[in-house]
Amino acid sequence: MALGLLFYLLGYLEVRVAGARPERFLNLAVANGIYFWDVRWRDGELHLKMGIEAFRRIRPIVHRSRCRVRILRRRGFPFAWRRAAGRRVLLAGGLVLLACFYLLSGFVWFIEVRGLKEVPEEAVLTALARLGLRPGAWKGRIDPDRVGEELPAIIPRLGWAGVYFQGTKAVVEVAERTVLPADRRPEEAPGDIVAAKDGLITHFLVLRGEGLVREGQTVRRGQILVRGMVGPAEGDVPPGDRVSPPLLVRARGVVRARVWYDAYAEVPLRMETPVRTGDAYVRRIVKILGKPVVVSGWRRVPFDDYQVEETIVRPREWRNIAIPVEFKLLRYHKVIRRVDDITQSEAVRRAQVEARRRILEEVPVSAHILKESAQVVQLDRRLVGVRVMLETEEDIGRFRPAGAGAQGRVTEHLGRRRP
Amino acid sequence: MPGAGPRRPSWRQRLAATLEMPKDVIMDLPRVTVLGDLQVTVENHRGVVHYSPERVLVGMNKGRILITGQDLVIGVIHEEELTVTGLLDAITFQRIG
Repeated sequence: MALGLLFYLLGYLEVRVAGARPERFLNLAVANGIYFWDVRWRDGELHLKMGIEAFRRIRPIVHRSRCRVRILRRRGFPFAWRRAAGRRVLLAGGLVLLACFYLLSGFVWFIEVRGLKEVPEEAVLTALARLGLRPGAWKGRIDPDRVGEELPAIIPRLGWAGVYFQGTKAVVEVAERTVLPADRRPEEAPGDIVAAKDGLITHFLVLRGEGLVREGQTVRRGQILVRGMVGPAEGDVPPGDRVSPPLLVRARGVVRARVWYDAYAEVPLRMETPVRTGDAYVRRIVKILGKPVVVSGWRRVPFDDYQVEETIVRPREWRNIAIPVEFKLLRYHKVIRRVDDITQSEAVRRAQVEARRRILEEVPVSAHILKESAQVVQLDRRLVGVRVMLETEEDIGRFRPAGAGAQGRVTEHLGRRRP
Repeated sequence: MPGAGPRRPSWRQRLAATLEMPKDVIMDLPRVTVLGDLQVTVENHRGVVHYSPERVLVGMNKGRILITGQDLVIGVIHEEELTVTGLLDAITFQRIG
C-alpha cells in the first residue's frame, strides 16, 4: 500500500487506548478525519496505529471519550533516523566508504593492450602515457576517442587504435600495419637510371650504383647511365676468392646533359575565317521512337555556306522509364569567308611562336635554356615555314625499375615537368 | 418488526430507479464489500458501535451491521471506510426504525 510507505516516511505511532468505551474514542476521532489502521484487541486493551500528525489532534478527543492513550512504539523513518543518530559515526564511515569506492572507480588502474604482434607493449604504454593514459590517471580527463586517434601518430607502426574503459581498466585495441621488407618498398625498389632523352652529358654524379658513362659523352635515349648494382668489379676479385653475387640497389644520381630540340611550323599568308552574318535558318525535329519527324524548317537550307548548331532536348527520365521522345533544334548560321592577308614578317613571327610552343611542350620547367635560334626555311607567296632550335641543359636521368626492359615503364626520376 | 406485509418501495428508492442512479448515493446506504471470509469493507459507515475480536458492530444509516468471526481486526478506519479482517463467520444486518 502506497499509504503504508507514506506513513513509514512520515513516522507513525503504535498506541494503546484504555478506557470503558474505546469505540467512542474511535468514532470521535474518525469523525474528526483521523486515520487509524491495524486496530486490534490485545490483552484486554485496544491497540492501534496512527500518524504522528494525527496524534496531536486527538488530545481533546481523548478527554471527551474519557480514555487513556499511551504511546507504545514510535515507528517509521524519522524515529529510525533519530535512533541511528547515536551511531552516526558508523553511518559516516559507511558513506565515506561509498565515496571512496566511487572516487577510486574514477581512476584508471589497469591498461590492457590487445592486438599487438611485433610492436613492444612498453612502446605502446609509453606512448599512451604521453597522451595522458597511464595507471592512476583520472578517467574524466581522458578522451578515449582522441587517444585512439592520436596513438597511431606517435607509433607509426600502428595503423589503428581504439580505446575504451571497462570499469577501472582501459582497453586499447590496436591493429599493426604490415610492413614490407626494405627491398620491397616502392621507394627502395632496385633499378637503374637511364637517359630520358638524347643528350651530351655535362654533369655526372653517382650517389649509389655503378656509373656507366662519363661527362662529355653523348648518350641515347633509354641508355643506362647508372646501374643499380653494387658489388666487386670483375677485376677486383682475387682469383680463387668466392665471388659474391652483386647486390641490386636503387640507383641514385644526378645526370645533367645538353639536349637539343627542334620544331618546324608553317603559317599561310592568306587565311580564310568563317564569319557568321547573323542570318540563320532553324529546323525543328521531333524524334519519336527513333524516327525523326521534321516539325518546321523542312525546306532546303537557303545558304551555301553555313555552320550548324545542334541542340537536343530529352525529357527527363522518370523512375527508369525513358520517354522515347527527343527534340532536336538545328540552327543553320549563314557564314561568309573572311580573307585575311598577313605580311611575311607577321607570318614569320607567328610561325616562330608556334614552333617554339611545340618545343616547350617537351622541355621540362627545370631545364636551363642555353641557346635558341630560329630559321626561316620556307618562304613563298602562300606560306612561311620556320624552324626553331633550342639547346638546354637539363636532368635527363630517369629511374627504371629493375626487371623492366628497355621498352618497359620508365618512371620519371628527376626533373619532373610541372603540370 | 411493526407493519407486516410487503413493503412499498420508498420514494427515494423509486427516484433512484427512475434516475438510474446508484442506490447507495440516493439512499445513504453503506456499500459493503466482502472478500471471501477474510475481509469486509464498509463504505459510508457510521462508526464502530462495538469492537471485540469476535464481534464487530458497525453503524449504518437506519441500522447496524454485525460482523462475527474470530481474531477480528479493524484493518483501516477513517471517515469514508472501515475494513474488518480476520476469520469471518457471518454478516448480519440489524434494521432500526
